[in-house]
Amino acid sequence: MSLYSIMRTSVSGMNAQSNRLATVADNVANVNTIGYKRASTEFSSLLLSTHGGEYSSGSVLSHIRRGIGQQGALMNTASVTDLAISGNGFFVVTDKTGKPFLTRSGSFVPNADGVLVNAAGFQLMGYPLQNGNPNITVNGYSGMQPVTLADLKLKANPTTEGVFTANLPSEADIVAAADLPSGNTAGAQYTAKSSLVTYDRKGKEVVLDIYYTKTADGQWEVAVYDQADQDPAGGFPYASGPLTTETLIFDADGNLDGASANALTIPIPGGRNLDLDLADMTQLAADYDVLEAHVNGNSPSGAELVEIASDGTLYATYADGTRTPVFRIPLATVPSPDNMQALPGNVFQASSDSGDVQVGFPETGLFGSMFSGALEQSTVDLAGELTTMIDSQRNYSANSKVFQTGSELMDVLVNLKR
Amino acid sequence: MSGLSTALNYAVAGLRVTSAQTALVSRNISYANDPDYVRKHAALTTLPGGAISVASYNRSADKRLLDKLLDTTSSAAGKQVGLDALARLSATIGDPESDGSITALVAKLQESLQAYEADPSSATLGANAFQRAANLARGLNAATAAVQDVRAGADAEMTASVARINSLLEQFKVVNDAVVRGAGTPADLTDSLDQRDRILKELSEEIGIRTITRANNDVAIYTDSGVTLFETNPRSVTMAPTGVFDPTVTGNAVFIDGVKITGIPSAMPARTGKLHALAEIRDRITVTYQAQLDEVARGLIETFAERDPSAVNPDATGLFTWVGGPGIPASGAAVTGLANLIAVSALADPSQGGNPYLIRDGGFNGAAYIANATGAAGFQQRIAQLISGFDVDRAFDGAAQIGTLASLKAFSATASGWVEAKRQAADQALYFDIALKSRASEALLRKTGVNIDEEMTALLDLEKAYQASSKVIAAVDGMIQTLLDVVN
Repeated sequence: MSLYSIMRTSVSGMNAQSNRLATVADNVANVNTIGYKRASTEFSSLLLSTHGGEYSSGSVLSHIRRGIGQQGALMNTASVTDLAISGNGFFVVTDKTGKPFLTRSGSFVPNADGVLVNAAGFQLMGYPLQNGNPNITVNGYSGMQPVTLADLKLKANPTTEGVFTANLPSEADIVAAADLPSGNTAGAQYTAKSSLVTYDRKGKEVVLDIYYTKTADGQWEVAVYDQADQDPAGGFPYASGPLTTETLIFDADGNLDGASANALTIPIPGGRNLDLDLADMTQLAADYDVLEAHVNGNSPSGAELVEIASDGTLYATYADGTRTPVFRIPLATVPSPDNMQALPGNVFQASSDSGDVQVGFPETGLFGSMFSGALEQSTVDLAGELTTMIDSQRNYSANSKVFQTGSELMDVLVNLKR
Repeated sequence: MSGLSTALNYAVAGLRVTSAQTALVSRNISYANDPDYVRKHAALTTLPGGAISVASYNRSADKRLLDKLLDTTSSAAGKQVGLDALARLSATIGDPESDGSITALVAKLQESLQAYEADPSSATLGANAFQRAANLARGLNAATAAVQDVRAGADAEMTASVARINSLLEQFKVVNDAVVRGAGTPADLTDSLDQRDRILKELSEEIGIRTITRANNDVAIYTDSGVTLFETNPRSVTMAPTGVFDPTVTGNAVFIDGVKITGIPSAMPARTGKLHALAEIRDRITVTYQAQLDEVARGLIETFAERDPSAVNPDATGLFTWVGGPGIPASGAAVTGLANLIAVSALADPSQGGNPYLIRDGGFNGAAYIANATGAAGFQQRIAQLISGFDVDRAFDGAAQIGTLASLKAFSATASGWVEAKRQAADQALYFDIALKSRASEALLRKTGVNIDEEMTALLDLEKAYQASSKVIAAVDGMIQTLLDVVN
């Protein structure tokens, strides 16, 4: 009976348009929601079988699609822990019960416990790096922990290596063997001295006095002392002998001779052995001039701020400028992101349609890059939504006209019999 | 991801960047007259998708030019201090032309002796000669006091300079730590960097420095002779002040990081800067000048020494005497502080009941030394011998640095001119150094300073950019309004 079918079809058309309007309402409401992916309504027709010249109208089915794979525009913010992704990856987050979800909503801030939490209350997950590189499970979330800034504890690194480069004055006077600093006598003579701050195992500063003394043409003695041992009046004699002594031999061009020592191994009191590279030392007819002096290690210091690199590594920057990687933030994706199930709070869950989760790191594979200090805007375009709205309104009216016409025709039919 | 909303986002990002840049221009302009301010500019970056943002704030620093300025600053500051001290010395001692100078006093003594020689019987002329001799001895005492005063002043200034270096290094630690901590973060460190350069400039006035830049923009400071001044932490700079100076006192040396950088000898002596110049004044120039005064005093004692005519007794001091008298100081070897110790013998002082005829007759050391054996009133030989003694070449100590063989008169003239000559040379050198410094400073300012013209041009550009972004916002607003009107 085609008159009934006309009315049923137009009702399905109105339903479809109101569905479409509902998605528009959602999109417009979330036009400023970070990481929001716009929803759209797609239609498919449902036809009844036709017999000869008789046509029974079917109906229209609406499907809700979400453009989860669509990239939103990235906008800068002032917060380091605001994260945005350019590419196919998603942040792995968990709700309070520990259930994992994916999201692009990266406006993370540390909560009272120091855990990074986004605007919807989901915790960011990452691999802790305290115990070396993480073992990641490509298709699961094992090994991840909520990223927390709370337990970035005091940290000290002992000095283990360094570089010292200087020019030793070739024209300097030769010091007699009896007066060499290595002898640690009260009247010790030297040509030049430098000191370097190093750190022992507990991060205590140990200042090393390094004496360079010309012993013969092209030949220099290096003697290293712990400054803490120096005579109360300053300098020699030190309470204990040199930590190490070495002889440097220079060739006719003023560079270190191949046969000469080119590094010092200095046992730092209470610390590790410092390998001090002297390979670039020169002995030219110029003044003593330090060109490079650098050792690693740092004193115990608390983390001052965090920094998140584009490869997802979260660094703690300590008071003395050293950076230590603390967490690595992974990204996850699925083969068909648009088919993931969208859940409240801008999170998504892998479904049978979307395929299984794959976990990896930013800047590898198709996961994309991570930007710190940026947020991904909603993919909603207001103008597009408004046009859709106008369109839907008109279509709704048209469907209602069809219904009205069907209803009037029924009226005529019913009134045939009086 | 394109559409009107995106257009709006971009326009807003544009506004934000433009206003940040405008703030920077305004900051540049407000500091245009601060020589320590280095021009700042914003480095912009775009995110994927095109939104623009300020990535970091940079400054137009130039390490090479700054190093040059630091070098010339230490050199000029040192020379200035040296010149000031020499000028003070020269002013108190008097220039060689003036009546009060040592050479004028020596000449006057000789003149009065010549007058006495013409009339040896005159008690007035004898007293006059004695008075002149007393003036000369007092003149040498006063010159010594002036020299020691300059040394004490230099020592006090060195103490102040050491304290200033220590305080600057403490400040440097704070600023340098801030820079190191902020390295690699988007924090705006430009003000800390400016401050760090300012401290370096101030430090270079006190002592010549070299810097090396290490990881995380950490700076280590070494003196111009390579002694570590600052490396992660400030090294200690110490000097024990000496309260009172006399010619025999040696000022205490300055130690940096346990290395003696002033004094003789020092392993790694400082070369430029105030501290070095003051140490030069205290330990070398004044000491040399003192040696010259001492040698003049010794020359006088030697000239006026008495000889036993019978050659039984050793030579002994005459009119001029000293604490070591009647012994005569060894010839050709300076006695430190002799200029302070020299005095005239009271035996010839009329005001103390002395007898000025002793100058004519000899006999300060008893009858054995009387040259005028007959007691003749017209005895001239002794006076003539004294007068010629002024012009006889005698040996002087090389420590005085003005020759080892000269007459007393010539030696005292050279000594009086020595300080003035040093002062003039220092004046010349300073003039040259100040020119170099101002050139280095101009070069640095040209490179790093704020150019108001440039800033104003930039401001115009920014204004235009801001207008354009606002225009985009207005246009997008109009377009959405059109759509909303359709809905109605």
